[in-house]
Amino acid sequence: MSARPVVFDEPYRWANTLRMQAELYDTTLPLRAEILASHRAAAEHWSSPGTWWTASERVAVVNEVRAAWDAAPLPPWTAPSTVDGLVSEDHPLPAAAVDMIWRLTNHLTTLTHDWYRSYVPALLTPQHYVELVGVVAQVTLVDRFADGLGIERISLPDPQPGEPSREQPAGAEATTHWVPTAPIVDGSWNPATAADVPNVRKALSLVAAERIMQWVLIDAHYVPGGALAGDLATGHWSLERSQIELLGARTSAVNECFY
Amino acid sequence: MDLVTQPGDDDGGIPHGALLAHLCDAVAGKDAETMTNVREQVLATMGPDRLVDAVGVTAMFHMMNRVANGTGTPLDPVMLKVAPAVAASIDAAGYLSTADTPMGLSAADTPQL
Repeated sequence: MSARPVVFDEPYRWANTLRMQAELYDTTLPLRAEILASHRAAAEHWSSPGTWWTASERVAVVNEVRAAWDAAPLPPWTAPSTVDGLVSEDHPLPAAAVDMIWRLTNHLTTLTHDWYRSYVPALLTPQHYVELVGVVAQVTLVDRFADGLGIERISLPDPQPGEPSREQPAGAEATTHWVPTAPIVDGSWNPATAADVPNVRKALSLVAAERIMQWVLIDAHYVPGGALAGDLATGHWSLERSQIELLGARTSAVNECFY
Repeated sequence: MDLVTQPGDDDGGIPHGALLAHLCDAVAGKDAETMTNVREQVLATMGPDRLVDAVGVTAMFHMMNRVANGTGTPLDPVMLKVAPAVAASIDAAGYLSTADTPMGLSAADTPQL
């Protein structure tokens, strides 16, 4: 079974929305159908065989992101796998993956190319690393959403059997990013220069399934891809565009993300 | 840019700007009491739809920031011309992630901090 995000091509109806909300979250807050659908898709995605990690390993990644976020503070230079009793000896993930997950979850302001090179390729292949980045980032979105609204974090389906797909995109090489990236042609971003997609859109292109899931979540929570290059005066969902961009800018400043 | 770097009480011309900036800080932090207080303020001031969407946006940027910082994503060429001025205005010179974008500008192009 290959890991593919669920594609939604049916209109969202109110009853369907309510049913999804009841399945996923215990709240009376008005969660938009797009958000619910994307979170359900994400949970299924994490519980499915990935491109390089098995479903059980991917569920372990989700659990480790949560463990890292909820843990007592640990300095960025202290690898959790070196702390007695913090990581079980029979953990489904290799120690390098656990350490990388904690660092990306809690200390993303400290990431450097040297740090990346300390893991890749000696301890993790670029492919395994990119898939981890994708899942950690997606889980962070969904969990910060839940925590921010004061609702219980989403539960995952049981991990599905099957092998990772090991799909490799053609033409991947490390040129602009630390990680290898593959060519993407996407006219939804800018039809005039469909091959000139933004660097953040290429970032996970080594593992297409994670790139696609990332964009499913973006479209549901932010501004659908094509509108990013368009009118900056029009609001979206219930917020004005200026409010949306402030939220993005302040969050990125806190996380010291220059991009 | 004060709202971005040092949120206070000034909305900066953005409806409920100060409150939204504080919401970002609460979501990024791990203090449950602070999160509850800010959430209730947003709910009372802006309503449930805007609360949900605002939390959704900041949560989305937590995802994007990890993707960008975790993969060494450099700025796009179209951003490079304004990058030094933006970096100066938000005190981004100290971000480790600026190293992913060699801007290669002369001293004459770099705003004095």
